[in-house]
Amino acid sequence: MYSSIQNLHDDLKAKKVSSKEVIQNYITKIEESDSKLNCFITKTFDQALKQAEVVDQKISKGEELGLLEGAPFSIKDMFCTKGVRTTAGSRMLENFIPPYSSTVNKRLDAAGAIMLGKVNQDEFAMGSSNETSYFGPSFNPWDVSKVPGGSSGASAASVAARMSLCSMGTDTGGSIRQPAHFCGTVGFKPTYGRVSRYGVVAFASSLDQAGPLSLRVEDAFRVVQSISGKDMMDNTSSDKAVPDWVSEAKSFNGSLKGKRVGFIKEYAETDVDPEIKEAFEKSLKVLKDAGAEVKEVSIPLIKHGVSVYYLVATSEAASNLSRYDGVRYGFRAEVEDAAKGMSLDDFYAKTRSQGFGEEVKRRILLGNFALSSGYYDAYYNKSCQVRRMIKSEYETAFKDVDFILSPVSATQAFGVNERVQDPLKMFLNDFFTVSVNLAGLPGITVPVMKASNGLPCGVQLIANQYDESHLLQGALTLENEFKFYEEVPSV
Amino acid sequence: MIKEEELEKAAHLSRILLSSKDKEMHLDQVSKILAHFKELQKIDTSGVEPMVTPTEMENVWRPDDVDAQETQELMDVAPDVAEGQYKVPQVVSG
Repeated sequence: MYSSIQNLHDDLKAKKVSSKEVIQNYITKIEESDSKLNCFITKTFDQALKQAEVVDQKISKGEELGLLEGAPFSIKDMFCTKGVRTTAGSRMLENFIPPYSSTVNKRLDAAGAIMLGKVNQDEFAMGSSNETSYFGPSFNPWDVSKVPGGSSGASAASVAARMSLCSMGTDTGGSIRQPAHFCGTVGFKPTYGRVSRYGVVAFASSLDQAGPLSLRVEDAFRVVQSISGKDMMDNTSSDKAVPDWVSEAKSFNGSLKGKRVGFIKEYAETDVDPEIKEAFEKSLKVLKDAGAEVKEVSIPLIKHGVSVYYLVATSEAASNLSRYDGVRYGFRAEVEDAAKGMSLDDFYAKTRSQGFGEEVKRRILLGNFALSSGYYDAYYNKSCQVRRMIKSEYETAFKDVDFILSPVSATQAFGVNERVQDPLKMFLNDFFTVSVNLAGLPGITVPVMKASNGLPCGVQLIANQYDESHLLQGALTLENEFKFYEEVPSV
Repeated sequence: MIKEEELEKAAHLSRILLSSKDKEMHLDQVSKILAHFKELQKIDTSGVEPMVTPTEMENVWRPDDVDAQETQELMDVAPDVAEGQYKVPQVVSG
């Protein structure tokens, strides 16, 4: 098994191994381990092996390899893949086979990535533990009694367990970064607008952003470099030039001299697990030792981030998920005595009540409550105002610092069934990640160490919009020190 | 604490049916969550323009071409179709 695309390419080019052998090894690993982890909802092994043959032909002809050529990927089941079932972890889309592919998938294909299958997630990406999936929870490869995090839980678990080299996830409020922390992988959410959302099942459109999970920092940037850039099919995608991060990573000399790293006062005052604090402090020291100047910044409204986030996210979700009507695609409830007729509302309600799980229904209810007349101003509108204020506080902070270091979560991975009964507590888990989405910023999780309970602890780096290059420098500095990719779970 | 009729209104807007057990659970949980969200009321937001997207942008136009092949593919994923139209069980307005 490989820990980086660069190593894979070196071996392929030196003909030490064929692409087909590599893919076959990953398939074997999935067949060995996935019965314990429940990551793969749909496997696409035959297609993967055929793609590998094409890569081998390219190599034998001496053709140049794409940035992701031959790299084995798992894909979160939020991404539409033409001809391959795409469930979003929901009964509503249990048998949905999209007639088109997401822009992300098209660009991954163009760069030569090989998809091994579609992986589990919280239903419609609503959850922080992978437990809301219609297909059952996925488990943490470091300790299968723990959750892998969520919502891109199986993306993180499949990478950590070496069942894939990279994975694509989506991050609406931390759904890439938190599972990366729980499973000990890199997880990178680019700036909102970097990556097209076309063909990604919509949850909350002003927050959703696709990004990779990988073992190495350079791989995460390699993936984002391959999939970024303007897409006419997504109005919110950015036409800003995409930097050559792969070259930037190669030429980075390890020095952060002249850089300023911030830590957020309000986060520093928050109670976290002692080993989460230890991972944070060790990381801060590494950045400082590399030459960065350490500064405190204050984002006073960050303490309201979770409330703002859940109001915005549920309101947008209530609107986005209104498309599931049992008419045009997806699940339709059985209607008894159809000949007698029923009201159209009842028909919709029956389909939606059976097709959606508890958490999704709760969020649609919350969203429609916040959007309903009489509550719109007090809840939805208010949250959008505070959202602007939080973004402006970040803008002020980024005048003083180049990037920010923070925890990803207050704890390591928690137990299966431990929090699922208490939705408010589950929401509060997201304290350290949601404000990044509210402000549209890029953020990356870098794994740092194993805690005494054997579970990974990571840290998060946050930069200003479109300033992923600073994240790259900070993340590489941490990775060079901690080398967490050398740790392999025994599952 | 939200009232039962408020929950019922949200459920209707959501086109979601709630059993009495569901109602009990949601009244409790949704109320707790909304009580937490109430903290926002203390923040002075006067004069702040609501932010609905993180990036300022303008409309982008592209031609709206209809592709018959695409139409067929989209119809093919529907639960029930007849003569190029979506089919639903007999519905009556009540």
